[in-house]
Amino acid sequence: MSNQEILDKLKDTIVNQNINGCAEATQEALDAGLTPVEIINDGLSPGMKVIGDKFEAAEIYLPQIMMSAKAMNAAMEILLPIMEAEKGEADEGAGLAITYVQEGDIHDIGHRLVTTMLGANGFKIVDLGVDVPNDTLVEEVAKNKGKKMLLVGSALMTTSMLGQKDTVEMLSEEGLRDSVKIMFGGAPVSDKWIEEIGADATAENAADAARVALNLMK
Amino acid sequence: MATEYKLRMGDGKRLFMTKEQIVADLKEGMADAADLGDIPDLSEDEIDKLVEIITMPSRMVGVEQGMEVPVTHDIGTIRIDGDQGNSGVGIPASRLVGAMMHERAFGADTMELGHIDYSYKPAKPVIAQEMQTMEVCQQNMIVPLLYGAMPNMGLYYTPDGPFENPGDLMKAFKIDEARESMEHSAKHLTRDIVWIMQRMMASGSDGVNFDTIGAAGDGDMYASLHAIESLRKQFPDIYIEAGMAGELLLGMHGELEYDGTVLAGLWPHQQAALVAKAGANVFGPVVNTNTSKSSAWNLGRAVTFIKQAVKDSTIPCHVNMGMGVGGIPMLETPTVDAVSRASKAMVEIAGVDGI
Repeated sequence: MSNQEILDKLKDTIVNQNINGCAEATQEALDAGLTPVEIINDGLSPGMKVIGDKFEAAEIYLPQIMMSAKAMNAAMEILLPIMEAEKGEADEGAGLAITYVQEGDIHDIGHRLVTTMLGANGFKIVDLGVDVPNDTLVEEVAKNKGKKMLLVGSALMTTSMLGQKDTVEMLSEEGLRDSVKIMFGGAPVSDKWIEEIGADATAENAADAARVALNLMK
Repeated sequence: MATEYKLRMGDGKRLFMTKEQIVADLKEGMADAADLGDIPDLSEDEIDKLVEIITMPSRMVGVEQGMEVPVTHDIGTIRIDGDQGNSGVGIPASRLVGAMMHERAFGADTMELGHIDYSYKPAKPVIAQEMQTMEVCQQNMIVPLLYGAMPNMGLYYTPDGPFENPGDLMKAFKIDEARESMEHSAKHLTRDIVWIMQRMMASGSDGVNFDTIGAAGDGDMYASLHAIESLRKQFPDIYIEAGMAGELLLGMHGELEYDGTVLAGLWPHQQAALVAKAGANVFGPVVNTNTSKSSAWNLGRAVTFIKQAVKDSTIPCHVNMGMGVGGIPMLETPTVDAVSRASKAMVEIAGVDGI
């Protein structure tokens, strides 16, 4: 099987939500000499892009996305230890992503998907969970000041979305705004809102979030 | 300087736009609907008519004489008594008084009796009170009085109900278990709706209103369609109104089917056929309002969707018009300028049979 055929097979396992098949195809790809980065960038991520597009077009739905994410997870369980061993502790990878759901909000399916996708794309993850107060965020950013850092906040409701504005303001007041890139997501978040509150970016879905995050950290 | 007209954003904020800006937003909203639903654009004449309606100088507008349509109310019996959190005006009044006020003072053509919790499941423990109230209302009223509530399948999931919450199961990647939980919940929801309506029909109800079908996704729709089918068989003359929760049927399950059609992802014009097939008399299509867009954008989009639903539906369409739907801004008490313009457009351009 050619390398391209192996990568196509990896992509198909993601698109078809084939969890066991994805893990097997990942091992096959490694055995064939492909690197973890090639496997992620040219096999798994294109699969998640297809899934994202299909979700946008209302051709597939949340359960199918979750199954694809699970397939991706199965591959990452094999790839991450190899990548970490190759990089060593000092390597920052794509950066440190602090992910969380805004205070007052416990809807975390989107947050989990985005966290998975960021991890799969080389970010080190600090997952603060749901209903996270802004004080905690500021503390975490202060603790990691100096690192290549991305704050990734999620809010499903317009009421909790308003807290994102406070997050940006509090980071500015504490002199930490320039230490971190900020991405916000969730159903009510728009480009206009991102511009209004002075954050850096948003994304349409989990697959897009990984792409936007990588661009932001360049 | 070009003349500017008063419009609103989807969140109700006042907005001033030139005619050119209005046309641009109308066309953009229309294109969004046409793209999503794979349906035709409005004609240039229809766009012109929308511009005319939006730019009318009167604060409130109405349909042309001879184009009046029936108006059907949902939770109106408690709209008088309820507080703002329940879309009410806080005037102490019984449900009978509320229903009679709608019939005799507000010109409602049909009315609905609803419980303050407004879902079928919580009506079960108070069924005796609901039956008695229906009977008393029927003795005092002339217009058709339906019993109505939300299917609201979410009430069957933990912590409110007996089945494990699919959201929690999905987060743990237990997809099959999540789907099974939805299927079990749907069976119970169908059973409860039928049980409640058997009793309400025994108390003289003229029919049933399914308010906000699909609020909990495709499982909610699946349960509601089966309940409609069962009620039609048991009560051949029952009047069944099937109103939707949103424009797109969300695929929380993703694979549920009715009559060979996958429910997830259906748009209003596609939902209409299934509702009719199940046995409903009236279909209540919904188009959601985008709060970040102008009322012109929202109205162009809503009219495009609803026009196609009316065209494809074999039963009358009574479009949902209210806060956050039908091109109307998302406000607890929607403004009359926006409501009357959107309603006129729905009648005169989309061709709805009722509101």
